[in-house]
Amino acid sequence: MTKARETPPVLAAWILARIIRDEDRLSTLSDFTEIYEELAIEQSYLSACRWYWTQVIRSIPMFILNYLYWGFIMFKNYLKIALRNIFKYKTYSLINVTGLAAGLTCCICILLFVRYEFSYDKFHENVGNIYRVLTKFSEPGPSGSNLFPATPSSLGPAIKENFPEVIKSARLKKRTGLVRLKEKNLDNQIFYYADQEFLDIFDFPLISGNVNSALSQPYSVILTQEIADLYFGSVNPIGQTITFDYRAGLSHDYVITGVFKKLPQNSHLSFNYLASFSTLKDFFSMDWNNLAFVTYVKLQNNHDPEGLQNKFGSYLSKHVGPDYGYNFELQPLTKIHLFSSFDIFSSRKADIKTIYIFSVIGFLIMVIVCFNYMNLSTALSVYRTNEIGVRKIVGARRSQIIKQIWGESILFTLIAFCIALLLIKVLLPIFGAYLDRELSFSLLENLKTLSYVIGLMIFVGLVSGSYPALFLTSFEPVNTIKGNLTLKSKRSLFFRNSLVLIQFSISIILIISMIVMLNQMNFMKNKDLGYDRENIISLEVKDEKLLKNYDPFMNEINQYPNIMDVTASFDLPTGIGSGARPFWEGQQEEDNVLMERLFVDYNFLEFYGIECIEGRNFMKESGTDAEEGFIINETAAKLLGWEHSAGKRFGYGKKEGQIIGVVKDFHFASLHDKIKPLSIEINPHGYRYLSIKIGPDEMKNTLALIRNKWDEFSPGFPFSYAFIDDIIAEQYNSEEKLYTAIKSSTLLAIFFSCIGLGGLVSFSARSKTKEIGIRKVLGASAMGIITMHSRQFVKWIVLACFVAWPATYYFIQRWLQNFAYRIKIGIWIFIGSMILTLFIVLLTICFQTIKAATANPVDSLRYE
Amino acid sequence: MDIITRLEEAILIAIWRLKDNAYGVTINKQVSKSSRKNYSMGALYFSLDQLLRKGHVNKTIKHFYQKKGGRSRTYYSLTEDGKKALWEVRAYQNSLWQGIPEMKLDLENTK
Repeated sequence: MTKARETPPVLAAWILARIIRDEDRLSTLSDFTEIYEELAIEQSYLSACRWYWTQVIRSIPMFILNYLYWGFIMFKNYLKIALRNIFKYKTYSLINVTGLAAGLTCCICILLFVRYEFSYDKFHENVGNIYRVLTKFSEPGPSGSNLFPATPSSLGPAIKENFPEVIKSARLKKRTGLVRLKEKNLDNQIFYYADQEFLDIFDFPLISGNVNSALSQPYSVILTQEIADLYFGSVNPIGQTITFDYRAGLSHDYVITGVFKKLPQNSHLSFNYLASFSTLKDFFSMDWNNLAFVTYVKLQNNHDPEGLQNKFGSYLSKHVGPDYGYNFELQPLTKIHLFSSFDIFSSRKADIKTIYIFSVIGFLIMVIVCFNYMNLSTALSVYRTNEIGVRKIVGARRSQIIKQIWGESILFTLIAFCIALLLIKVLLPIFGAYLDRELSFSLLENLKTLSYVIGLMIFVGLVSGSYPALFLTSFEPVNTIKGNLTLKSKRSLFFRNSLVLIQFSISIILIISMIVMLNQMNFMKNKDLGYDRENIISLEVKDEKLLKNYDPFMNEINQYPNIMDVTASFDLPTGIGSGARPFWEGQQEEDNVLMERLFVDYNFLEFYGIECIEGRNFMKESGTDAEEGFIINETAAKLLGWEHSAGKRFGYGKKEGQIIGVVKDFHFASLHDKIKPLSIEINPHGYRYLSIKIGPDEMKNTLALIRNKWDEFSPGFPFSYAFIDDIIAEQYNSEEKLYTAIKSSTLLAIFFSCIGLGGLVSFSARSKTKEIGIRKVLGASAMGIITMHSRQFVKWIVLACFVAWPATYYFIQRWLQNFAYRIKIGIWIFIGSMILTLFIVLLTICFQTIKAATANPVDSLRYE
Repeated sequence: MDIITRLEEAILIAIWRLKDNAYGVTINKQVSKSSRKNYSMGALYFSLDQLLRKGHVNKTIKHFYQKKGGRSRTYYSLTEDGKKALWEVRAYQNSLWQGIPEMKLDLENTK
């Protein structure tokens, strides 16, 4: 009988020890050992061992179950205590949890928006292989980007023929006009023209019509479901005709060959009418000169676009000519929505930079809110030292208390998470509607993200619970009850204060950024654009008759006393978009620029108050101005390298003439870009807009008068007018919305900071009631107490300012680079923001400190 | 209040029988003897704790230091509640079996 057999089998005993609760372990093991020894004596060691092992194995489930039952009972107790704690500090707990929930909601809404923006165009099956061709100009560039999505019409077919990597190519053209069907006239409809292959490249399914042939014949058109319903109700529109009036004299019938299923909103292409491209062969010279189309290509699967891009240059010089001055680049479909700030074709596009800003703000909100939560929970937890002490005395082990506190903390954060989910469900539609996006939130789709968020919540719960869980439980219970604790231990104070510091810095950064952003937007809205914009109405002319007769029309209108002046032009100064490449005196072989071309009437420049700084204005009397006269702007003159431009040879294509004058630069595009070179010329056949300047009074009557005259001259054509002022404001509209959203979220972030601060301050005031009571008894005034109390916060704010300022300055500078015309940042913005923050903080402090300072010292010292 | 389980009933009776000497080993022996069934130790301890949670028994831990490594035993004793529970289950049993002497005979025959 070896010694080993006198004791129960070690492994079995070890297993047993592991699955029994601590308090029962010794007894149960002793019992097992006792029976083992009895059996060993009565029968044999072998049968004793056998009994031991069978008992251990058979008992495992029961012991585990036992463990769980006890755990559940303890859990009920923890829950009761947790609820009791919540109700003891109702306001703070509420603020804490709802603050966290609100912050989560904002953050997730922003996240969903950002994700939506990145999801544009990804619903096309071949999205990875689809590219848009961009024309790259080699000009000695004024504006930021020398890329433009306008390509010649020959490009599409040529590129497909000559490069085997290109499987499909399609062209797109956009036109605005009037659509007519019997009595229903809709104006300002956008007609897109596309090759049949467009439907092959992109996935826009049809609910009726053949997707393989709907656009093969000229003068065919596909409608979207909404438009089809509008015009035809429930009747199948296939085979019917609608008329599209592009301009005066250009009115054609189109046969409907298909109806689109509702187009997804997250597409950079959005059209109500898609007509066949072959229709346009009557209207445009299909050559390499007219850069007025968008070309899309589909490459072989996973083909690298770089290689193809490099071949373009040699192709162009071989087949088209050596001096075209442009090359082509391929832009992936996925990048179009966010990275095309130069574009005019996309609908509802957004700039990647604003998306970044949004994401950063969302992130900051999350940080602020989590910090708030951690700070406040840590402060609140100080009041639990008693409970912890008692639990220790009654026999809780430190690990148990730690688990309890952490569990409670995490439970809180998860509750905040659930509240956030509810809030998101409610608020997301509103948020989406404001930003004009369809945002939806379903738990299933976002499972992965939600699990990250839950993970974050658990993390926040752990961190905010770590002070009480780890630190407070390490004391001897006696000390906690007697109150010998130094609650203001250095480490915890440092932790809390650095959190507050970070929060303040973030708030200050946000406040400054917001003020700068506001200033910039205002600046852009109100900047002098270099031409008169007040009280000017523009009328769009599509009637061919009126166009031929516009002189008499304008003369008659000019008779009215309230009409100051009338003029006509092809484009309005609010947006000039036709570009071409001129030739000029002194042009070198390699020189090639793209200039905007504006066609105007003789009195246009005077009408809009555009100043002539060299030479002269157009004059009817000169006789040659209409055929040969060009006026250019300052930028153009500089670009072409002339000191004196008057008299220099200049022209486009077949039209050759000379410069008769130079005008001061005016903004005819967005203030994001520097002013481009512009040439102005007379073209009596090419006017689209009449501009009418009216006096400030009696606007309604004047409008009515004009309208009557309009109906006289041009019956049947809708009177569509707009104020130049409004058109300009409209240009900044979508940007404005985004900025307002950013502004709101910034305000939210600041708001959260204030709430967090308020909670902290009020708590610190509350915990000092005894100290304040004693001070009052010793003679301190309420004012004195308030100042003493506020002083420490002021110190922190000033410190936070110094931390925040350099960072803010850097970010603001980078953001303002986006704008060619920007405001200057003065030092007062920084000082002002510090004062503003101080003000907000002191306000929050005052309220709480006053309450404490004016309390009766008898009450606060009562339990001494 | 729920009626206690059969094992719990057996344990309570055993504890009552054993008076001051009711701990793991003795309870196990007693229950096996009285009920003529073999319960695993785990089931036993589980039911003991269940009784403890319901408040039918009290426990006292006694330590012994003579043996090497130390031993201890948890002694269990009935509470008033426990006694009531026993009466309850007895009454439950009686009312169930009221007036069925014949069945008892049949069972004995078919055994």
